[in-house]
Amino acid sequence: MNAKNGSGPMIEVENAEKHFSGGVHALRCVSAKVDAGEVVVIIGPSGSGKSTLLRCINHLEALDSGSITVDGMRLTDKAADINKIRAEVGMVFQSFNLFPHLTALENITLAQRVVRRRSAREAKDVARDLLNKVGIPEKADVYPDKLSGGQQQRVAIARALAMQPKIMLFDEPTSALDPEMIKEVLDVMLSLAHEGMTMVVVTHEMGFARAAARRIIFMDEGQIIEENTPIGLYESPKHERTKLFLGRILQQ
Amino acid sequence: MTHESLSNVEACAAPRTLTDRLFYWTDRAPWWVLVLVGLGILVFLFIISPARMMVDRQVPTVGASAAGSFVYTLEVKNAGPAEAVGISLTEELAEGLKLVSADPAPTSAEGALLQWDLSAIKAGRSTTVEITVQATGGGVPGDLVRASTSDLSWTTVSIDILRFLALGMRVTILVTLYSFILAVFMGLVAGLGRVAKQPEGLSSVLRWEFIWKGALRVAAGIAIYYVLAQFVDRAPALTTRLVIVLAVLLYLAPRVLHPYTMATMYVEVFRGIPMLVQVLYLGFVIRPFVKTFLSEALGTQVEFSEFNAAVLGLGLGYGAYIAEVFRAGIQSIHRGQMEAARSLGMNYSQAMRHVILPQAIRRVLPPLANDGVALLKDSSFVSVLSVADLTRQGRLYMSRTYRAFESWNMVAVSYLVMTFLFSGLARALERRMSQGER
Repeated sequence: MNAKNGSGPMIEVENAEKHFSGGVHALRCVSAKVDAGEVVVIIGPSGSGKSTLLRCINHLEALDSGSITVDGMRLTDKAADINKIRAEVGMVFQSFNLFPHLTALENITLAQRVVRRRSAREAKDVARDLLNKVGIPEKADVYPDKLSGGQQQRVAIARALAMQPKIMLFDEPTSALDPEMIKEVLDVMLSLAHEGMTMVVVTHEMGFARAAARRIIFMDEGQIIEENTPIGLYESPKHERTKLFLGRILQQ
Repeated sequence: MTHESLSNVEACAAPRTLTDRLFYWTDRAPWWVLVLVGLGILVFLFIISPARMMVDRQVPTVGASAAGSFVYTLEVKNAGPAEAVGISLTEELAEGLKLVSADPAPTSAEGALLQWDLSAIKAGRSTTVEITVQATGGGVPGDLVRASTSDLSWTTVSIDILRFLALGMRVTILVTLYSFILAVFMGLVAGLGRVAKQPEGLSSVLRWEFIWKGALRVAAGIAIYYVLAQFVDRAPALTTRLVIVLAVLLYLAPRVLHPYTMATMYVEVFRGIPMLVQVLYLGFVIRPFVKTFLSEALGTQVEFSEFNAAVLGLGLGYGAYIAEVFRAGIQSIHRGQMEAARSLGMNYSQAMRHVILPQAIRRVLPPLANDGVALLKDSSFVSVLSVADLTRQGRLYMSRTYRAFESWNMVAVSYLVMTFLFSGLARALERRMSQGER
């Protein structure tokens, strides 16, 4: 294991291939690298394979062929300890997926106690700090169904951060939110980016991409069409499909 | 519950009609009110049941064959539950016997027919009538016992039905409790097996990889058996038949020993056989097998009571239904919950235990309570195994008294009281556990 600090690829995807049943070719020979401390935004039309790529990095989906290396550990090896790798990779879902039978605080402490084997007290302290950080310390003892979408997503981010992951993956974190709640979630993500967290974000929030991302990857039909800095991609997209897509979403 | 589904305005309105009002409160009563109501019904049943009277005739053995005078007694017992009043006792003297005196004196005496109007007897107390008679001819006390009958007004000479049924009720509750615990345990285990990843189809046992691994397994297994058999005194010898059986089992082991396959076989077998047949099978096939064959094999007497056989039969049978309830509950939890738990680094069983099951159990409480009530009622099947449950006691009572109406009425009401209490408690539990979740 060669865990890297500072520079060097944190995530390395090589020639990833993924088919779904029903003949969907979700990933076609995808290769990408994400350095430590880098924020990468993935955009693309629906069905372009961007969520699949993210889910493969967390091994929620298994690749057909190709390899993925996360923090020096090869995810695609049979002997890889998937649970150990996953604990290093936080994931935030479009539909929050908070545990409805637990309060906000318990949502954040559960995995710390079960996976990280922290004491209840230690886990609670971490959870309260994180709730402060995402701006809802007063909601600690509230059940998810009493929280707004934005609050739920912020609890979900805190839940992932509690594991002290090296990488955070965001799968369309604001797509299920009402417009007035999007900002509160993006603010949390921005401050994370400024702290130097390695982040891979699937989103259509171009404002966020411009402010936080070092690179934007544009995907379509399971392939990486092009990648560039935000400015570079917006101002001089090389491919016709990229132009078309950017034109459509920037109009909104 | 209807009020909650209506719009806000209507939900705030007080219930108007009588039935609305009635169900408004039954839907919202806390659990202890249900327990009180249940106890109240039991007490009420106890109070309204008439006192049960018994007459015990005691004839002295002394002078049993000799002519002359002797004393015999009639003991009128009130077996409860209520105080008996207006008791009239009638006794017809046997042929060849003549009344000398009686204490207390009979209210009327016409020939051989004696009659007393007794004062009230409290529950559990008794009154004794002493009769002194003179044997005139060939009267034998043996005849006397058979010849005469006693009659009591408004209550019959009978065994106390409540006391009789209370015993059965206790057995029924115990059978239900034990088999429900067993059924929930089996259901949970089998339910988890049913949601486990399915093995490949049966055709995979003919694939090359499976064949060579299977051949290795068979060879190794039989070799190990051969070596071990040298050290065990009574181990069966490796006959051709045993080799074939071992080979098939060892070859198919990875497919058959898979949690999904085992759980599915369990569910299919036990769900497909009628409960009554399962109870009979446990009682008349497995039980003798265990008691004789197993005892002989182990060299010690293995105890296996009919009660245990009944509990095992009911518990295993209901476990198959409850397994499907748990499976449905687990599968109803959104996929995202498992993904979120796994993405935090939990392994499958941690995610199951801390995230999926707590939610699933809440969802399966209503169908689980349903199965509990059904199990309570189906516990009447154990009466075929001479387990003295409520149904069996009821039948026994009827065959002793020929009173079908009273017997089955009380049996039916007793079941109702128990199921009512059970569903009330289940509902209260459901309400308690649904806190926090929509």
